[in-house]
Order: sequence, then C-alpha cells, then structure tokens
Amino acid sequence: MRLPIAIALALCSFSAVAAQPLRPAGAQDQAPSRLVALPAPSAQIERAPVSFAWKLDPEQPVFASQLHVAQSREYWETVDGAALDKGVQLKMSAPGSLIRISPTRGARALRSDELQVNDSRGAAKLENIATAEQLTKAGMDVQAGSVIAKLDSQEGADTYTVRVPKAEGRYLVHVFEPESTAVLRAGADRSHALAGGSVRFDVDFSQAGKLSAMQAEAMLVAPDGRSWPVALDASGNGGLAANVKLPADTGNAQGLWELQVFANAGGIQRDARTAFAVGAPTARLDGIFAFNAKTMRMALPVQAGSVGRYEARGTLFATGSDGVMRPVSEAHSAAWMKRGKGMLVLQFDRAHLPQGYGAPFEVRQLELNDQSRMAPLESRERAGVAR
Amino acid sequence: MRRYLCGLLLALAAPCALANTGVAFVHGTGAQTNAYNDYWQPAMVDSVRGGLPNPANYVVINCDFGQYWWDSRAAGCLAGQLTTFINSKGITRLIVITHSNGGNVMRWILSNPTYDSRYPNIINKTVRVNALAPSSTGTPLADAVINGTVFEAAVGWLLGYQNDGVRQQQTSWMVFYNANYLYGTGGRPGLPKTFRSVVGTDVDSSPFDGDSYCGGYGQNVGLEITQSWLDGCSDGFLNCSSQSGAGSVWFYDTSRMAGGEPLSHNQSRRACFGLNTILRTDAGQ
Repeated sequence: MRLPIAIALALCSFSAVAAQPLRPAGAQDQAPSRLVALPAPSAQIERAPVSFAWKLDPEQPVFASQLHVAQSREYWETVDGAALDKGVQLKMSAPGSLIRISPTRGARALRSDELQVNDSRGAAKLENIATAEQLTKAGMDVQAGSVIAKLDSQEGADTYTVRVPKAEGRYLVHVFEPESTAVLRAGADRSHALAGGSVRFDVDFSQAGKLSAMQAEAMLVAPDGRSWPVALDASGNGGLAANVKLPADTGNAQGLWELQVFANAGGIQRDARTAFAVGAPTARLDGIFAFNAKTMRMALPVQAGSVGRYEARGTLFATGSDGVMRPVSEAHSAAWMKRGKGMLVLQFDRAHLPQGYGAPFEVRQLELNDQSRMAPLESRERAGVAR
Repeated sequence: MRRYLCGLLLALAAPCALANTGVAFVHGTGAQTNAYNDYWQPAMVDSVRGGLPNPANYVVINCDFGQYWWDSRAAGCLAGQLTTFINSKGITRLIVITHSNGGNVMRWILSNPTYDSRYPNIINKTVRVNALAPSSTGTPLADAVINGTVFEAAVGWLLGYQNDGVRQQQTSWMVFYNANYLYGTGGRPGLPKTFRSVVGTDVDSSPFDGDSYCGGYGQNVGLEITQSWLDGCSDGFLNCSSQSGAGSVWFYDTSRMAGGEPLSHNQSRRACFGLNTILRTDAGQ
C-alpha cells in the first residue's frame, strides 16, 4: 500500500497508533472496487473544509437501518380522451375506493360535475367528489383540473365504468383502494448501490393475506427519466424477483432511482415503487485508518477518482463500565479534493465520553459520501476496534 | 463572575440575562416570499415573538422548499437568512419554529453540518427546534401525487409535476433519507440539538363546530378525501407516526390545546387554540 509522504506523516503523527486495516466490507456494506473520473461538479458547492462533532446519548441505541418494503393498494394508468368519453372500465376489489383523473399536458381540465361512475347495476353511489382546488387546500397538491371521487362504502367489489363526456387529450387515472386486502409489495436488498453494480428486488402480491399468482412488469427509472425494462422471474417463495445490473452512467440529475412494478392478479391491478440511491464511484476509502485514543482522532486516507467534495462520517462507540460498547459521539469531516490521495479526519471529542466510558473504542456506521454529487460511496457498519 | 451569574440563572430555568434569544419561523413545502402574512399570519408570529426578552429578535424565513433540501434555494437559502439574522441581531440562543417540511430542511442542516460552512455556527447557536407537524417520515399523499407521473421522451414528466420538495416526502424516499443522510429517527444517531415535535392528531371538520374554522380552514371535502390515505391518527396531511418520527414528541395537540381541540395540518401554523401562547411562553425560556 503506497501513500504520499504527507498522508503517511499524518498517519504517523497519531502517536503510538499504527494504521490498521478497515474491517472487510460485510454483506450490507458498500465498497467501490473501481474509481471513475467525472468532470468537476457544475453546481455551487462548499469549498472550505468543515469538521463537526457532537455528543450522543449512550442509552439511545444506534444500529443498521431496516430495509424498506413498499406496499401498494393503488395503481395508475393513462387513457386518452376518446376512451374516457366512451367509458373506461376499472375493476375494484373493495368498498370505498377512490378514483382520481388528472389531465396531462394539454388535456382539457375537468369539472367535478362531469364525472360519471357506474357499477354493474347502474349509477354508482359516491360518498364524495372533490376538485383539485379542494384537494390542494387539504394539502394534496394534485394537478390543476383534476377530479377525485370516493365511492360509497356500499359500493364494493365490482367492475365500474368511469366516463367523462368530451374529454380531450390524455389523462392519468389513479385508483386507490384503502380497504382492499389485495396488496403488492416490493423491496430491494440495499438502500444504495454503485453504478455498474447490482441490486436484487423481491416482489409479491397477496390477497387476504395469501400470496397470489400475478403477471407483472417492472422498470428501472433513473432520476433523469431514463428507464430500462426489468425482467421478473419466479423467486421460489411464491413471488417474483430480479437481479438488476445498474447502468455505468448515473447521469447528472439529483434524486433517487426507483424500481417501478406494475402487477395484475386476477384483474386487480397494483403499482409499487421502491427507491434507492445509485452513485458513481468517484472516491473510496483507502482501506486503512488510524485512531488515536488520546486525541480521539480517526484518520481516513481517501482515494479520489474525481474532483469533488467528499465527506466521512462515523459514530464512536466506547466501552462502558459494564463492558458493553455504546454510541457516545458522532463526527463528520468534509473537504474538497482533487483527483488522487487525500485524507479526512474524524475529530471526536473526549468531553463526549460519559463517566465510566473508555477504550476499547470502535467507529461504526462509517460512511464516505460524495457531497458534490449527493452519492453514498462507501459504508462500513463496523470499521474496526481501536484500543 | 458574570459567567457564574449566568449559569445560576440558567440553573433556575430562566433565560440568561446575558444571552440574546431569537426566534426563526421556518415554513413548509413551497416557495414563500411573504411567509409572515401568507404562511404564518401576523397573529401567530407577533404573539410568539412577544414572549422574547426583545420581541424584535425574530425572522420569518422566505425560501423555496419546493427544491431538494440541500439545494441552495432550500437549505442554502435558510442558512443564509439564519446567518444574517444571527449576525445582524447578535443572536446567541436561537429557537427555530418549523412547520411541516420545514422541519426536514432544518433537520438536513442539523444532520449534515459539514455540507456548508455556515451550518456549524447555526447549529451551535440553536438551542432547540420546535417542529410543528413535521413530515419526518413523509406522507402517503406525496406518493399519491407524484406516482404515476411517468417520464416520456417527447414531453418530459407526464404531468409536468417537478416539485422536488414533494417528491422527497414520498414515504419510500423518506425511508432512504432517514437511513442515509438524516438523523434523529429510531436506530440512527441523535441530532446535535433538541428537535421536538407538536403532533396534530385529528381534523375537526364539522360545519357545526366553530373551532373547525380557526386558521381560516373550515370543513372541506378535500380533507375528507385525503383522510383515505392516512391512519386513524393524523392531522389531515400527515400521519401521527410521521410527525413523531424524528427527535422527541413535545406534546400531542389534544393534551395542550384549549378545549382539548386537535390541530389540523393547516391549524398547526396558526394562532389556534392557544398554540401561539405555548410557543410564546417557550420563547421566553
């Protein structure tokens, strides 16, 4: 491992503490295996180095976050004005469902008195019907010209026909069934990944608590709107799954990526989305660290493949008089870096140690982030123990 | 000696006479240019600042929280206005009152102190954040609004809906940000300063109940529709679980409001049922 002299000196300056390797990345950790050279970020980004630390309550546990599983009782579809004028059929599975129709660009705005809803027997009874203005006042900022109807609680599972005479343009139809037992679930095996890496997704559809067979399509959608079809295969446990290889080019748009799933089980439709971050591997930790228990400094050599602002953050665990490690301090450090070797130093504060706490120490939840591109680059649930 | 006196006064739970306390009002999602009149209204702001030793030590933030939190128009703008306020008034103790997504923007600053060199001073001056109905874990209503707006090469996002502030408050997006950039939720490191929420638990929308009209929002059909996306405990826009999802709960509305009234999402930024009086008293502490 070859380090520039300045960094090596900085590491040596932490008296009596030799640089030691970071713990190997675990299954839920992230570690770039390569670096990319991207152009400098165009946005105005802080250039000054900044460090900050604060005390944590050791009685408040810090642990790895649970992975999210999206659940949906909703779906969306686009229809053209001619179809809406003629009548669009929607299959519902439960009473009290809601139907929203929103005009897309250029489509005619709708009035609430234009919406006609019929069940298989005739005119359906509506509990409520509201306009975009009424929804916006309630905090639901829907597209202008939208209308939404809530079916009466007596209007249960049936096929409904929704009609808007003289509708013009394209409309988004949104169906939500809050009382339905038909639920589509979708989850990813990680909350962030690197460009060119892969993410596994699991999807299942249940009705009344039992898994149902479904037809499903899926799409990987980037924040800039690019999308890729994703093939879902039987997962072996009654659902569907996909191992998705992510594109090497993450684009420049900020925000999260999504896997969007569109499912149908016996005519009941559901859409679900699960969000995650994808970052270009612009920098990585150099695989070693030095922790000085006297000064409470953790030095982290960094390899930057691209110019940018990089931030390290970590949670210091100290050992209590009962021999149990608990979180005592949080430290962050960020600096603008050119391509090549750099270093970030997490300066914890000895004053943050509660009485009776001391070595051995461990930094957990260690992260390296690209602040200039809002991308999580590297993470270690446990970085390593220092005495 | 002055330091000892100050410490003694603090120990007696009174604001230190040598401290200079200020209050900042931070609005929710959307762009504001006159939040004093449009978002909070004078009855709320003037009542609360009246509790300060110097009632002139207040600022009403006007930024664009339709952007991602870290954007220069969102947290960057907030940091700029808070820094100007702190410097121009010599503020040493800052109480931040946020509403809705404003709590997330402030939590971004508290959780990411190295993102901007102005953040550490703001954090150091902040004594607490009183987060009124914060959308800490998002809202299903954001999912409902954003989802389905697919991207098409010819026209871009189908509904043309590009409010990143709403986009971030989708529940699955908030799960990501709470697990990766934001602190204060369960299992995550705590925030450097107190972040305590006021939770609205219900919407009183009866046309026969005058209380429904406080804050200018009476019974409306929209609230009855939006409730369909929410739990039994909500303020009409956010589930109680979202409002109490980060930091600690200061109080639930019905436990402190006059007559045990609930605070709808719109009422929790207005001088309704004594909320302003509680905040006014807090400003003096």
